[in-house]
Amino acid sequence: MRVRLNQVGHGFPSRPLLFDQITRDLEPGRVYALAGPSGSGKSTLLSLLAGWAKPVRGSITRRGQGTTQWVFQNPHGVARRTVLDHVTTPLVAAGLNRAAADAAGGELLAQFGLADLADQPFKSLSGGEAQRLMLARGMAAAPGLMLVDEPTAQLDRQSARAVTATLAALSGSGAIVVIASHDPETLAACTDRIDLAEHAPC
Amino acid sequence: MLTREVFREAGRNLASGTSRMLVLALVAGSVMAGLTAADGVGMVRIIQADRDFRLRAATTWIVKAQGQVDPAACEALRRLAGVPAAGARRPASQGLTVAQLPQNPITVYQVTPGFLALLPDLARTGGAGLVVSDQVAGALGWRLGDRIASADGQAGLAGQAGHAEVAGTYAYPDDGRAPGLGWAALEPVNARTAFDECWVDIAPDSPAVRALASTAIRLGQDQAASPEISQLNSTLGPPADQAKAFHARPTLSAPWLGAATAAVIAATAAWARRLELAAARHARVPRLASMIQFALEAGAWLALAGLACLPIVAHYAVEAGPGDGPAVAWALARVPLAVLAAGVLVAFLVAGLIREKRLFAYFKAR
Repeated sequence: MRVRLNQVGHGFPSRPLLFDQITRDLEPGRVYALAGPSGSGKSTLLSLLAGWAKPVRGSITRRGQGTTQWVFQNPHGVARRTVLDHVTTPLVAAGLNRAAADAAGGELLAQFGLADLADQPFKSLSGGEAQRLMLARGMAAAPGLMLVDEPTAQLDRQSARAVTATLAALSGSGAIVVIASHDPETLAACTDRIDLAEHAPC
Repeated sequence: MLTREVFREAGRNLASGTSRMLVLALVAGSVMAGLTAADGVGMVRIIQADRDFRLRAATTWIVKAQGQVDPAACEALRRLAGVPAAGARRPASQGLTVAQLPQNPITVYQVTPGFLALLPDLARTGGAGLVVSDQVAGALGWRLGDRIASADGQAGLAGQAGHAEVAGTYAYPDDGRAPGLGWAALEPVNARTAFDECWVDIAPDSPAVRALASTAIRLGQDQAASPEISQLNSTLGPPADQAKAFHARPTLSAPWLGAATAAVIAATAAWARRLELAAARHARVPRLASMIQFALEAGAWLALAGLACLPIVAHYAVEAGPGDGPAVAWALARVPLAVLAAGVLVAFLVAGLIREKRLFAYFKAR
């Protein structure tokens, strides 16, 4: 999937625009840091990229195959369902039978360092584990575009580093990964950067 | 998504407690049980009132026409639908005075054979003789088959001077029915001559059958005389249309009320899991699969709730009796069935209203 932002600007009715004139081509296999202070519109731009809202100015075009996955700031899972169940949901939804989904899910969990927790319920996970599980579930859906919103904001330093390492590894996934964050370590793990402060209307 | 995986996912949600099956079944079960019990009480009350009406002979009508009742025509009324019993009565030419109680003569009536079926707790020997009230039998210590000796040597039966047998007993409780048969003896006869009264049990009540009862009158010399028709027991009022009462009972809307409540519970359950459902849609679970899965989960906890109603349905079906029990059971079963249908349908529809595009909004509002 390729995504092109063409002079994109957005804001909410009767308020000044949050950002304007963003023109950028997003390439598969790259990890983009979406930087900016709180309230600069990082989550809003993610929702425009997801296609859940339309920009008030400019346009966003997508070409090619692939779904969009969004990983939120706070991991949200089904408290009593297992870790494995979470990653197999997109696989089963795609038509795999249970055995095939379990096998593929197990591999994904190993990739995200969660293999030992496969049978644990979601509610037993730490914040960092849960966030990595959300990333694994997102990847299980074979996305063309992966949107990650403040993935380390709620985590302690050690957990944040584990998640950041996982995010850095996504650069080889073939998906476009956009990470909204203001954590320097997370931003440093990215290959490209979109700074909303540069696009704030004067 | 494979169909069997939809069922399996629903099963996993139920088994893991994600569906909150027990809590929802408890809530839905309480509503179902309450409504079922309320409707059961309403139904059984109507049935018992109807039963009481019959037991106290309020369904028995007396057509009076002095010396004009055709016994064969009166007995023939039994062939009408809704006429369990009919028979004619007239006073015997003389009463019965027994040696033990000479100051209390027993009134004797001649009746057609069908008349006896109008009397409760009838016990008979099968032989000829007098059928006496249990009040008479109790006072005089008579049992079935005992010989009756009158003070004057006559025992009421023509041609059986001096003695007759107790051929039967019947009850005639003091429950509001017209007096006359409490201290009495009945002599069954196959007479063709006219009687004074035709008694007809009409249940369920039918004005048309009541009108037909007048056909037992043999118009004779006094053609202008119109028969007098009255209830044997008028203390309970005129007959009510029990079928109408059944269909107009206050709890008739219980299934609708249950369905509405189930709809609210199912919609609330779906809304409470909107983030999970939207996330599933985001994970590419097809909308229809998501809807079916949620409806299956709702069906499971609604079915569990429905099980709680079974003892209630059984209780009121038994209380209604073998005649009305099946109808009561079916009528009561409509409550859990309506709850199940409405709950599953609403769960299906509301799950379909959860949109992936609202995932971020649901997430922020969680």
